Amino acid sequence: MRAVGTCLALTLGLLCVAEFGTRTFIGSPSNAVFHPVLGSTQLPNRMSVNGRAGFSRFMTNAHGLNDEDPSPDAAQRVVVLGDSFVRAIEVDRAQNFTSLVEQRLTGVEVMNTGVAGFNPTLSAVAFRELPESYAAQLVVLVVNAEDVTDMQNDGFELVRDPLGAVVDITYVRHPPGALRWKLAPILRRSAVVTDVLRRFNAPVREFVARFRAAATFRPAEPPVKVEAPPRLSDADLADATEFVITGIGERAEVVVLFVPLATFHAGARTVFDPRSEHARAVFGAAAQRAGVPFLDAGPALAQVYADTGEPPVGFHNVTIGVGHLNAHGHEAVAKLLAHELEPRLQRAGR
Amino acid sequence: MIFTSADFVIFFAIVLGAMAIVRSTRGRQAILLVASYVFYGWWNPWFLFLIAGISTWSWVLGEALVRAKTNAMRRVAMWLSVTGCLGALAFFKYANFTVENVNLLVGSSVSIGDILLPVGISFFTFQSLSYNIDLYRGRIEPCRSLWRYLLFVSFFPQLVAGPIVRASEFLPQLEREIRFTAANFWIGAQIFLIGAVQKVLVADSVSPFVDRIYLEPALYSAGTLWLGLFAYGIQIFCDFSGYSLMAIGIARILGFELPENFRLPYISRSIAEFWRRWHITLSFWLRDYLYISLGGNRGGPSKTMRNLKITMLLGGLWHGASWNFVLWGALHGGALAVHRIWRGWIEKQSFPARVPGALRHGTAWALTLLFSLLAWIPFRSPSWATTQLYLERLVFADGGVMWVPPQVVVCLAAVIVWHVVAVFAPQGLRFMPTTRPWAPRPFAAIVGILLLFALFLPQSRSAFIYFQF
Repeated sequence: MRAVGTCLALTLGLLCVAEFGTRTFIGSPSNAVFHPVLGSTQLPNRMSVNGRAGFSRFMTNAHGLNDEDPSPDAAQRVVVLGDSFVRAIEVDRAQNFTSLVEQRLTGVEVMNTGVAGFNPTLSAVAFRELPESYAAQLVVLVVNAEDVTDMQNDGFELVRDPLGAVVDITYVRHPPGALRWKLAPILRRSAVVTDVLRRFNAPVREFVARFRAAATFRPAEPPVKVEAPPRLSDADLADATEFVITGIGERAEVVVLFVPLATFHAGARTVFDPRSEHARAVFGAAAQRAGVPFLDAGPALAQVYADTGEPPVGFHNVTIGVGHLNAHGHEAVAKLLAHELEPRLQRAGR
Repeated sequence: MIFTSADFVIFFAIVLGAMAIVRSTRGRQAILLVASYVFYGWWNPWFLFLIAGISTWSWVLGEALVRAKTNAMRRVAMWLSVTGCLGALAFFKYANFTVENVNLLVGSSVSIGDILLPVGISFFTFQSLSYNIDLYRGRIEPCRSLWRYLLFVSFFPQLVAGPIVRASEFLPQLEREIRFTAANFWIGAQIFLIGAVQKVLVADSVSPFVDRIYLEPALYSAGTLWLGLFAYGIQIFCDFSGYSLMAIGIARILGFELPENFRLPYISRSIAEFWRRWHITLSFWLRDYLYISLGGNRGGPSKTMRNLKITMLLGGLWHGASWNFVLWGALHGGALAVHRIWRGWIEKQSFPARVPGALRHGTAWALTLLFSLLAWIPFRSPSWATTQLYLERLVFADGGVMWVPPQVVVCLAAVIVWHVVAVFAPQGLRFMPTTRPWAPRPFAAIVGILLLFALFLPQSRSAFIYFQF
């Protein structure tokens, strides 16, 4: 009996140490809140730690975003829409490009509304749901190569008129009863459980698939994988993006910022991912048809690497030269964006 | 099927279940033989014919050797066995390499097609060879049962990556009852867990860093390359040592004892000591069956040096058909020869006695460590050009990207602490493995390890390095 008690006490003690260590160095308990269209949003006013790629501690604002609440005194406001590249939890808030642009443009408030996993169509929904306090003179829609894949997987449908023009987008509605949301009360309290479930999700699924396959003497995967044709054509993707830009454009002037994926090599050589070329063509066409400027951050990122020898993406605790923008990358993007936005904001009434 | 895969978990559960149901030793041996062939065939069933063929060839010639009436006949049987085993190894492992080099030398373009390297061929051919050579030398009794012999060669825990088990170590275990006990289970499970920590938590955590560094050394600063040098040192050690421990643990659960394969090689104070601690079953195999067969140290200093160099060159080549491995073997062979000359000279001098022991031992340890780490560069590099570039940039790198991954630094620190404790306070590590894992210290260690697995399991697991050999 005493041995059982000792073992239990030891286990509890070690779990407490693990919980403390995880919250301090790896990541916070889950902040996710169910949303029927967006899939999930983030809890407001929560202190979070991200140590999985880069490292930062940040407090979400009243809308679950990685920024301060909008100031009623701001003379002008820019809202930046996008995914994890914009949310930028890998660097301190003061180092992300939205904060850096704000520092460069005096009197302008730049709001970071990025949410991981979003694509332009979801960003448009999130933008519509932002309260009036986020009203802006200018909206920057940030897109990247991952967005093409995300849009293909997202399941939304384009509604076209008889002439083929997109008149609406119908979104997939997520079921609230998924296991993830049933476990949410536990996940919000334990960083260890959040981290373990996040890491073991894919291996456990694979294990179950292989176990089932072994039990039924069937291979776990077909010997030859047949590549399914993409759900949406490039024209569909460009139409959807154009529709989104036009919708946002009814409330504010829009600038599209493209952040390509690239790898950085010896001899100051930058190699852009082929998916980026594809995404650049799709989103570039959409911006052109919507009549809004299309900024490509690729040359700026390549230049900062050539000048400093420091890759603008990647972090010490994952991989240098691959992944999200690091402080060098944010600096380069901020410089480019501020240069583009300044005259537009001046024209808009500064 | 690697030990950390879902396939192996299912496979091993079935084997354990069958072993628990069948009580007779013969029945259990039959289960293990079938399981070993399923394990090997999982990778490529066609190569079952190869392992069965080599095993049978070796056993039949062993029988012929035992029954031969003259020494000449015994010698013929032994050489036929050696030729068969080495012939298979040479064909599958070195044929393409040989043809490529002949093509380069004479400017021809002969091709024999891509020959698939059977997993573990270097290990099971060496085990078969040791049986026939030991029989010839009269050191072991012949194995009268072909089935037992097939199990000795194919025993799945050590089949594809060692430790290399000799007939004298394993066949006697097949003569006695297979003990399937709780004590063996607890001990084996803990040895497996310790191995898994080394392989999965340490080796697999540093592997992505090492892979990128060796992919493009020109990109990184000298500091990062030095970190990469240490990182690969701990990766290959923990990968191989961890996998060996997992094999030893699995065998123990099944009631078998396999020989130790690593004994903290990086604490060695000479390169000779390094080889008594690194891949012990291979280095002792090379010593007993190659170095001694070449004459060992019986023919005077120059022949001893020659034998050392030949042994290490072939030891390098054993790791793979590449000039990089030959270079690695040559470096170690050269170092062993230099160490032998040095030792002979220093023993005649009086001044070493005046140098403080800590300084003497510390210098010897640092030089040995530095050499063994530097020698891994050709071993790991994909080409000679990469080796050159890496070595150049270690010393002359100007600029480059500084990348210091904290997980690599933590793994390095953990390995250093482990070695320091093992050397200066070994009693601190002696609480595991134990037959009483619920005692506070081992229980805390096991729960702690499981938590570390839960929190730090690398997202991608690299294949076991020595599979390719």
